[in-house]
Amino acid sequence: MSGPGASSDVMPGFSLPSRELDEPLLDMLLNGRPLPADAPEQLHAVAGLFASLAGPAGPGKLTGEAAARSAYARAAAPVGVSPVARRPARRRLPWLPARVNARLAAGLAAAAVCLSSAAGAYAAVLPGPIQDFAHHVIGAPAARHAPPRVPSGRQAANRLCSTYEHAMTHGPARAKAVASQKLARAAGGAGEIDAYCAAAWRPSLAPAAPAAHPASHPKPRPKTGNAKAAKRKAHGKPKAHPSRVPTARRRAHGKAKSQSGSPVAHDRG
Amino acid sequence: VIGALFGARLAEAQSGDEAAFACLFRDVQPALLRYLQVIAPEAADDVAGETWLQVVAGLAGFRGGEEAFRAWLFTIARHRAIDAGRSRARRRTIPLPENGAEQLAAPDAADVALERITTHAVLAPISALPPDQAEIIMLRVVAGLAAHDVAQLVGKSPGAVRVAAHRGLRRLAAAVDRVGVTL
Repeated sequence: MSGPGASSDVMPGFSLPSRELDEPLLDMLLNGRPLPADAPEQLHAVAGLFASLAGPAGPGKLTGEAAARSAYARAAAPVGVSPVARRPARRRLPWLPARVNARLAAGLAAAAVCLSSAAGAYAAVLPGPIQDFAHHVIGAPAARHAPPRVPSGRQAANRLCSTYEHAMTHGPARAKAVASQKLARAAGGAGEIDAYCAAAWRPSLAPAAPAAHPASHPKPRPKTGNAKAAKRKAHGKPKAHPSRVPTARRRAHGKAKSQSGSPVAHDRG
Repeated sequence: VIGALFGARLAEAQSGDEAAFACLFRDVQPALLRYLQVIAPEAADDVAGETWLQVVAGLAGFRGGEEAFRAWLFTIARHRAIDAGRSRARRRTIPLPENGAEQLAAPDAADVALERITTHAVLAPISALPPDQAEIIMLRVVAGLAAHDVAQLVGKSPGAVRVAAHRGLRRLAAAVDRVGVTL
């Protein structure tokens, strides 16, 4: 404490024996090393103070142990150190050899698969071909063949189907590929194209699957010509001219016909 | 200080051995409480509990030796103590009298009370120092942290930490000399 700022550290009422407390001695105190015997008395007193702080812990210093251990036990459980995780990885029945145990497990697994498959078959929730197989073998209900996807926007569907038909008849190979790809995507598969276009062109005559097993087939939903009109009716707002095509659309339609000069596919409906 | 066995104890604690965790706890907890009694005397127990909760949460991811472990733990404790100080400043509370109901309800309440009084008497000269000097001395001497760890913890340079520690020791020596503390 011989620097210029030393006076600012002096506490009121204390006189510092600064010249005797050189820095090596203070460092020894800080590092917990024993002081030489000829060190100032007050430094020995400070060393004694520190030694009492570093003494063994009494009961008051370990009061939080139960809470900390409890927190540790709780935190350890989810990361894989719970008592369950510490169990031996494999347990087997002591009176069976390992090979028999493995066979038993495999048999049980196969039986579980068979039982669950049979249950699934009778609930008619298996994939189509498997359900058909179960229908023939164990008399489970036949597969429900999903009805063809009904086009949501008839104009768009008509356009797709017309483009497809035109491309197949007159178009180059690339146009055929593009048209069939688009139509297959809209119809839900290449195999569904015919049904899709049939439904698009003749919505009121959508193909109904033959009712070989009536109980297993869903009831066909009644198709109305105009769902919006039915909705309006239900809400008590009848449409003024339900069957009339909007004028603008009619004009556009006629214009297209007159411009192309040849009837397009959607005229069939 | 556990010493050479620290690595093994830590690994066991990280793999779910509660006894190993208790070993770590018993080694650090006394120094932690004494440190907190200087820097957060009104909430030392609570802050220690929060510190251990955070240590438990991060124990699996800790990597390092014993010195690093203690530095990590005391860093957490310091942050929690600062949070507790802010929280106390926001809401006024009526503190319980010293040696309150919780201590008296403990099975060894008399021992705990006596120990607290003793600790309080021993810590009183250090607590009378300026806060930064008291904290640095506690971290260096009681927590056993190296100068560079303390410097990082309190956000000062190692030189500044050394100067503050020396000033605190000189004040402490003067106080002990004047009051005549016998230990």
